[in-house]
Amino acid sequence: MRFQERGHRRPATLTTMTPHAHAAGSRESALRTGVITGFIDTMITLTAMLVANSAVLLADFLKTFLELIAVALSWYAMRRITRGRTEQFDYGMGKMENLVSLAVGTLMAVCLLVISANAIRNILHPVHIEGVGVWISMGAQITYACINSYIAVRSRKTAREENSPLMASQARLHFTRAIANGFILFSLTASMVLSGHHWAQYIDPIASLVIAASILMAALGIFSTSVSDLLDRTLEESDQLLILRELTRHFNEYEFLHGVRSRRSGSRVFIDIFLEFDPEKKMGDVQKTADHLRRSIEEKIQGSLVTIGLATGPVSNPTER
Amino acid sequence: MFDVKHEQQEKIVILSPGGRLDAVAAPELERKCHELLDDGKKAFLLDLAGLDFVASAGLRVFLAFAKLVKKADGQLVFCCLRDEVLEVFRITGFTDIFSVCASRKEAIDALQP
Repeated sequence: MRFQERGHRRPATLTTMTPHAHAAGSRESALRTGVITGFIDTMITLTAMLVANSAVLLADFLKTFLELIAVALSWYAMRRITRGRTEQFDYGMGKMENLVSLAVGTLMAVCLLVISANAIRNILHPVHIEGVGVWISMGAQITYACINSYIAVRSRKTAREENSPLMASQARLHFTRAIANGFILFSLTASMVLSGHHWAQYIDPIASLVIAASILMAALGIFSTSVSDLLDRTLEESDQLLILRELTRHFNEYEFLHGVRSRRSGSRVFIDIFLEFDPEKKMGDVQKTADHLRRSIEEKIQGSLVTIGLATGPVSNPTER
Repeated sequence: MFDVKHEQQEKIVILSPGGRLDAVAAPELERKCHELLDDGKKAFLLDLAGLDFVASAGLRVFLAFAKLVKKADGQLVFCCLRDEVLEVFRITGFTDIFSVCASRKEAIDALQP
């Protein structure tokens, strides 16, 4: 019955791929690439760590493994978004994107602790880095610095185009990883080249602390963005003024303004406007005004879904109930 | 801090909100406007000289009040807007649909039948 109703109303959506579906597909594809490359990276760092038996490479392995989990979580979320979009999540999955971003942020915080603890241990008990595992790791760092940079640029482009916090967190994550690759390569190279000097033993833990600082910055950014989005806050004043501008433009087409409610949920913005119309007005004219108002606001506020509600009295805010 | 004073000059009600008209203060102004309308007043002058800041919630009160005044076949004129408030009025298009005067005298003249 449900299928028949939907088929009757919008048969085209059953057979054609919408731009939104295509965009979600490209996001899933980008994340899948991240999972595959992350898995290979984890295997290589694991091999390097086992061969070299090095504490630095152990930290690198743990960091890479945690990052793989982070990307895999995002990929899982995106798969659910892509697969379940039309059946169970009519309002999108903005909150899930935010929750995944928070999980990524938490994992980054764990990485930070591991790297910091390892760096402190190496400062207290300095050791020279050596072995085949170091050379394997250096080769891997060069390769993955290039791959991570590529994925970061691609994710950033998608995040900008689709206003997606999930893809923005992925761009930050891969950018951080590329920087980490560069620093670990620098650390290993300097430690090997300058191994004749006693102080060279401190290059590695100090470089690790710099990587830890960059991860901290990225994690804080993810937390601040995702937590505020999860709170379903109302729109910023600049957007509220845009809504008012449109209400002003249509001032003579409605009888009374009974309220405006708005909230952000992930990358989506929901705006409810409650208007009263002249009872003598034709339904067609009311629809025309409502459609025009809705479209003009949706064009101006990125990611917005506007609902024009009909009301004959004040509409209370949920927080006032 | 927000406050709203009102005085009557012949048939014209002069409302003078002062301070910050934000989401917290907006209901107070809304109540005052409704009280005056319920008393049968029809000519309103909103003197915004004392208004330091107006948020979207305050602007919505103005918009809704203008609708009620129009429905009651009354008149509404704004005057003495500070530069910051005038700029917000311009951005939202209020200056296109409302009468905005530079001085109180000019506004009173505009309200005279």
